[in-house]
Amino acid sequence: MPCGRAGQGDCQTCHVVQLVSGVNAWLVGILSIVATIMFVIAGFRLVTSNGNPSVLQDAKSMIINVAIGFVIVLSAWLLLDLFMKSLLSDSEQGLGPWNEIACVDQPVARTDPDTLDITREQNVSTCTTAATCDTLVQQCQDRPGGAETITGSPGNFQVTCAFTGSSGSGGGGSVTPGGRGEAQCAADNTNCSVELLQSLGLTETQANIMSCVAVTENSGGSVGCSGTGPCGTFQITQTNWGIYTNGSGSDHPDCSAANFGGSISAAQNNGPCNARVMTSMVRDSGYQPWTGANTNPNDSVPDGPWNPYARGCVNTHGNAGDSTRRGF
Amino acid sequence: MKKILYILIILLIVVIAAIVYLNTVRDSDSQTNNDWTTFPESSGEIPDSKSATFEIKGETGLIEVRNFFSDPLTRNDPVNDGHYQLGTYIDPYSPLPSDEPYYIEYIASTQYFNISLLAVPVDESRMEAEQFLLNHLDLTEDQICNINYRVTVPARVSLLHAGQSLGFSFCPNAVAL
Repeated sequence: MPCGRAGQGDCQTCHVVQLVSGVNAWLVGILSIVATIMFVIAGFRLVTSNGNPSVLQDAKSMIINVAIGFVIVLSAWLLLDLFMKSLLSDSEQGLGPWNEIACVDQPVARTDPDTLDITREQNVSTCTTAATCDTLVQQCQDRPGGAETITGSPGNFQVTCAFTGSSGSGGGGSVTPGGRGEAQCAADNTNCSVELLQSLGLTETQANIMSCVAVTENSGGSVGCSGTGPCGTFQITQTNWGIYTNGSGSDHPDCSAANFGGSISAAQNNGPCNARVMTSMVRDSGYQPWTGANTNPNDSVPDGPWNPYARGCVNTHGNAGDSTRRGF
Repeated sequence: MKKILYILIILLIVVIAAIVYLNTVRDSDSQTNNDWTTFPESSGEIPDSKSATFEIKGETGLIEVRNFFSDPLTRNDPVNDGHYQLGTYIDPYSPLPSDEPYYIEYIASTQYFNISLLAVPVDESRMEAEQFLLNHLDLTEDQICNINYRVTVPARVSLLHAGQSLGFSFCPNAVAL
């Protein structure tokens, strides 16, 4: 089974089915070889019978029996395949491949970062201008598991930064629920309203979270690029755009750059396309593309989340048991 | 023996026919599923170009505004039907970040104004957007507080103010900057 070893994922029930399927394919292959050999033997006997009627009859019987046996084997294979295809509804493969079973990683239940047993420390800093406060916020986000809370009034803000202490291990940062990361797109915003996102296939929780993420990514607007590749309502990168729109086999070929005069930015900045690609990304990767670790060393917050406030959106609008929280 | 052979051949033909049929049905199903929701991009309330004013819905009733569609600073969004950019213009074909202080997107089908503040200091950007709307929609501060709108800041512009609904500075419940 392709699981359980170094570099492979954990074993799932699906892998047992994959094993049976593999054995089935192996047996069909072996039996094909055996049938071929039998045909050759029968043919040889036919040729070397020298007109002996009993040998001729034996050879003919052998050919017919092998043919019948082989047809039975192939029919069983086809029947099994037909049965499985009638049970599985997500196959979009058409007539083939017949016997390939792809095991997809199952969602892993994840502990709410707020409940992780880690040592948290905090410090409080004061700032008077937006620029200084932004710097403090950024410094906080740079710390392991850093999450800031801003209180005070104009001219006298306090930035409280909670972060993972030296004895802690890992843990995701989060924006304190009740703080920022709450605003969602307005109901009349056809780029990212909760209702619209649900109509595209997101669950109610996912739609609530992603409507909030859209506000932090691009203010809920349809047009806008960051300058490093991401554009549109959900600031989807060009790499992800290519994955979900390039080629007729992709999820959204009508959203490829080719349909927008060859401009990938124009395609990304099309509101309906951006929302649809986002929906596919959430289906495949949860919120990871927005909440996951930023591995770009040139980014303003390297090793922090791509969008710190996306985590706030998940904490504020999501459920602790939501399996799509993966990616923190 | 021949009978068995005939039965097997018939069985094989039935199986192949069934597979072809099932795949045909599935293809048509998947095509139906791929018909994504059509977005409500109706023509909305776009007034005649000769009209000096028109009415939009507000929180407390209809509000008469200047016909900003005939304003040279109102431009069609070329990649989003029924969306208009007011005041400043961001070229959707360009991958470069905008250097404009704000971006006002009007969605005609729902008569909604989405305002993004794109430059720091955020308070100055908000003031510029407010002034533009007050002048070009020809509204008072009280009236403009009742239009269907939202003012927010993307995280890439300001981590301090991202994710908040800021409101116009002079409206009730506005966030002080």
